[in-house]
Amino acid sequence: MLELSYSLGGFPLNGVPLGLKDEEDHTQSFSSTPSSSSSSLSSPSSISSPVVIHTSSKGRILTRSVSHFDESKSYTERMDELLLSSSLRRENTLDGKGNDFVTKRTTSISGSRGAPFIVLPKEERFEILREKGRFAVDIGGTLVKLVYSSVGPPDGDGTTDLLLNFRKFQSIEYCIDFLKDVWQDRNSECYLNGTGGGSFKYAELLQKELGVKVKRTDEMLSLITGCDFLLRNNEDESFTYHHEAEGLERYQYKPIEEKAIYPFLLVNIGTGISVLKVDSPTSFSRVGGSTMGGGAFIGLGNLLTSARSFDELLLLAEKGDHRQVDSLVSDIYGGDYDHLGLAAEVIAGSFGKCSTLNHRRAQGLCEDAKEEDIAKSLLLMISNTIGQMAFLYSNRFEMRRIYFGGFFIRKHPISMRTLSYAINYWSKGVCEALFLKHEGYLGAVGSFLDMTEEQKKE
Amino acid sequence: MLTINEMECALRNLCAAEHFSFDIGLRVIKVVYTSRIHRHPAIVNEKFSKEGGTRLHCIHFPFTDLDKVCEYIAQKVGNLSGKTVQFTSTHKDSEECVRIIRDTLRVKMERVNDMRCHVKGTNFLLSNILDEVFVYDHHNVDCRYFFQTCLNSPHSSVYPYVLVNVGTGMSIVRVNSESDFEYIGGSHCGGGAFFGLAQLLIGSADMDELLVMAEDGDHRKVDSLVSDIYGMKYEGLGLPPDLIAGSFGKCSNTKFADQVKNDPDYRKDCIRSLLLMISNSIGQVVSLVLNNEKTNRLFFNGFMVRNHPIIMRTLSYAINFWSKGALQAHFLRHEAFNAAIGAMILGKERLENHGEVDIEKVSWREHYAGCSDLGRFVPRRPTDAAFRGEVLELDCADILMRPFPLLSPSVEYDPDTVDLNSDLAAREFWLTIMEESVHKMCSKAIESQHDSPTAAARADVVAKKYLEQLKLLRDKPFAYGTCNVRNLLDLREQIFQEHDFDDPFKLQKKLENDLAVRELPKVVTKLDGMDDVRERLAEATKGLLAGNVFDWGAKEVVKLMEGKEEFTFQKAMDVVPARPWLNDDLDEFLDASMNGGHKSIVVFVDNSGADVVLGVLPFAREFLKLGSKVTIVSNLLPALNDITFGELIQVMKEVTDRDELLKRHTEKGTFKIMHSGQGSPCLDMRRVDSELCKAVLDDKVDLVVIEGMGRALHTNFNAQFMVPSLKAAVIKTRWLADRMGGDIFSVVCKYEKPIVDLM
Repeated sequence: MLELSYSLGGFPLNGVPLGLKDEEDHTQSFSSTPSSSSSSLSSPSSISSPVVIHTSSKGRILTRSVSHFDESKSYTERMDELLLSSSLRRENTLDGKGNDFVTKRTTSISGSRGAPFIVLPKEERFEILREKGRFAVDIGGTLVKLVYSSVGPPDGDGTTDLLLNFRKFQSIEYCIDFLKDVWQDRNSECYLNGTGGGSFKYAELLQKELGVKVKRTDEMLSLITGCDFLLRNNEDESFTYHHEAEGLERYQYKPIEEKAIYPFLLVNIGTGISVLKVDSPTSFSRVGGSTMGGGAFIGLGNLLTSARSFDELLLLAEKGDHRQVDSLVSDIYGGDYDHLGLAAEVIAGSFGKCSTLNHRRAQGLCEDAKEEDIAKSLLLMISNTIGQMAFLYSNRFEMRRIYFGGFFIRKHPISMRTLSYAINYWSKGVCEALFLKHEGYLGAVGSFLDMTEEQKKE
Repeated sequence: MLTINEMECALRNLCAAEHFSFDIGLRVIKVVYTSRIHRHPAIVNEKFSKEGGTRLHCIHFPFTDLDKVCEYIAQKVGNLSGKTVQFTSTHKDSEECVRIIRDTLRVKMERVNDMRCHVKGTNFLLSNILDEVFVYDHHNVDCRYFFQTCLNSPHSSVYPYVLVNVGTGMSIVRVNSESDFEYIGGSHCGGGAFFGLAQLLIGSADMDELLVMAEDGDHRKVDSLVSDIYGMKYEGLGLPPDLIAGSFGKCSNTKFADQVKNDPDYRKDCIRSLLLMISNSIGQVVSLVLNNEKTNRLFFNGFMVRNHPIIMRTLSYAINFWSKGALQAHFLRHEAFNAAIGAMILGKERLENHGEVDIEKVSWREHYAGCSDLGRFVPRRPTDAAFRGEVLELDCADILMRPFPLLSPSVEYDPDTVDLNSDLAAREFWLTIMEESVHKMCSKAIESQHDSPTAAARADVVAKKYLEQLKLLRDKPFAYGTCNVRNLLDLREQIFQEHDFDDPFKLQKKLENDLAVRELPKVVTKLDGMDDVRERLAEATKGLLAGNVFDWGAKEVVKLMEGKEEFTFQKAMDVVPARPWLNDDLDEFLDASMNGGHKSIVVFVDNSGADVVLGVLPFAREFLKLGSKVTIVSNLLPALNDITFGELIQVMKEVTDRDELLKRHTEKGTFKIMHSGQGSPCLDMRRVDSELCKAVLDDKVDLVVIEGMGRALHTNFNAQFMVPSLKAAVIKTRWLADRMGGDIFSVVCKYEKPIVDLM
């Protein structure tokens, strides 16, 4: 009853108009007007834009990227893109002091169309990708995540970078359409790497539609491999959230020395939640999980509000005031509850005020609960519980760093604030909530890195 | 709405009520009060006898009936003005309730911190009510409830324990000692979230309705299961396809969410999903918080949990699952009342008012006869509406009861030999025999008060009530906790007392005591005439068994005693069969006694008359002659024809006038009488008079003798002690004889040395 699958997405299922407009545009354009002109291995979306390599330092915030943003997008979307494309203030995790940290290896870069990618490190194992691209999908309960390689545009001296592109789709069909278009030189000898529950469910469909073999990679191993790779190679992969700061200052990069990465706790929030204890790239275990994750947030959100997508729901939550529906300590005790050291504003019971709604409404004491207040309360209830649970697991295994993966957080300030607050509060400042730029793609990246089939051929 | 009749049934003895306290909740209000009850004087010791007693009444009623209940109390109780009433509350709207109570009863109101009330009240329930704790096992077909008693004893403590209160939110408190506790965690995802979201989802927050829906619903229609994500191709993953991956996960598809609302089962399916999501989350947070705790004693409290099988089931499952079996969820039968009782205990005024019982310093016992049926804990689906169901009454023992200190610490003590919850055949037998015997008991009772014009009518009520209770037990054997012979008998005693039949066998006992006292010299002379010490002790032991044949509680014996011929002690000696007996450790017992193994003995006695006077006293004399100390322990309060402490004092006065040896030892202090503090035909070693506990240790008792069917067979047959023990009884019922593989009047003479723990 309680078990969860490992890598689950957090998005509504098929056909839902999501806020990620650029992707939707793409999926539509690919299904209607296949752009056969584009070179087979290049990312059709990012190739045209100038590649900007950020070398930021403390205090210097690059706001340039913001100008790329489409104003019609929600704050959430913009923040998502901003974080995937820009560099923020950096803090060295190891000594805790803010260091000027010059990027050594790879940096993320972004195209104007918002489909992000990173430059793969110059390693022998990736050279083969110059000749033949590789694709990997992570098919979760609600979303399909795709990563694939492409060759970047020539540099000044004529060298090219290998790029790793990130895409997500609301349904397997959209993803297949996209793959048919981008993956031109595929044949029956090719492998599509796949992980996530859907790699079982849709294996036959993928084989039939694409005419390639599907190579399944272990879900947990993929998740960890992906996380390890990103933390090692993308200096600006992880960041912390500081609500007390202003604007972009709220986000702080937390680069980490390779040797200090382990151990850590990885909390993957998808439809449900998985908590993984990671001691090394090869030694890890699933220590717990919960059924109350992204699925519960969107599912209950769909049943209780008029929001038609995850982003709309988050927007509603931003506007809401949970105090209208939750029971606060002050609602029970009339003020602080000194005996337990609980402040008046602390939530004593989520949705506590709603349980007497009928009664109070009959007395003319209140109106119906507003949907934005419901959305806010729901978000707080779920993210607080996740935060508390994450802390409790970190405490049990004496882990100080907790990385959050999956597609639930979406760099959404309320979620990040709640999670950071919960971790800080429960651990009395000992533990740290760390967010990942590519939070949703860990499994896909890990699956991508499985090169056994290529190696066999050689 | 409550009727006057319902209030009369629940709010009893208000005219003698003394102190009140309230626990004001969102849905229900609990009132607790003490009252003085009329009771036959009980002689507690030679200097002190107690007239009347104190009772604690706990009643649970719907929030909406507060006005009515307060008016009813005000009308019945007389003048309360100037008194202070304690209350505790966990919601802000309590001000209105406080005003109603204050104005209607014309009292001062004192607020007591709710967390302290919960802890105090839980301490009280744990230390006073047997079988208060239970674990829920949904898959056990015979009985889903497994009861436990947690008492402080020399070998174990109820502390520390963890209290999880699931109310609007959920809080986890560790209780370290009687007064020290700390908050160790909590969550705002609790009962409020369940009822609040239910209200928002389906427009109802009615507990009864929701829980029925949750039982019937199918969460798989709205949750994402493992099979939804993996398809049906998950072989080898070791994940059951029905496992929930994400609660409400299917509804994260907007189209699906729109459609599912039109499903006729939508309401119950999503309530079930909600319930599972929240109880799983609670179970997980609790087991994580308790990961580093030293105790696995974990009690769930709160209206969300109370008597709701589906919640108990999911919480138990979640706790077991997340803790990998290290923790087990426990529940309390009467936790509904813990805060109100705590408020009463914590009330300052009452404590300062000397001359009244200090609730915490004495022991209390469940007064089954006064609790209305459901209040005695019958788990059920509907809840708050059942007003009659919400009554608990406790009687003050006026003394402090403690576990018998010589119980073996290495073996868990369970007084009852047969658990009628799990042994269906035994349950049927006992319920039937109790039903059959009730009229006989009633005629004895009427006889004992033959000058009272109301006796016959009262006896009819007793019979009716007792039969009703037995019927209830047939349906729901766990209504008292573990169903056993002991509480079937106790219940009968209580109902008799409730209707002013303090002691139906009073005259009978007096008659038989007098007869036996006159007979005693004959028996003693015969024994004293024997030269061989060992033979003499053997004969005395046989006498102990013969005495035990006299018993008005056993049908077969009643036939003998009511027969045409006089049933003499000598005839009883002849009834005792020749050796070897059914259980025959006589030789071992004699060997140990001859070798000076027993320097100080304590004898728990059974019936009055021949049993105690002609059986036990000569037996005691033999040990006195061997130079041992002897203490005879009787009941404190009447039960059947068992001798009470008051009667024993009277008997000893008469005996010592005639018996030089007993007189000498009584004066020397080597022979004494005490009481167990109990009033039952059985003996529950978990709770005996603390004075007795002290004496047993001071006297360095090295042999425990228990005699009689009730004390040595129905209870304590398997009890292990730290010192040698002798269990002696004659089997006087056909059923038990068959069960034990013997015949009627078979003899049990079970001598056991303590099991030595080899480190």
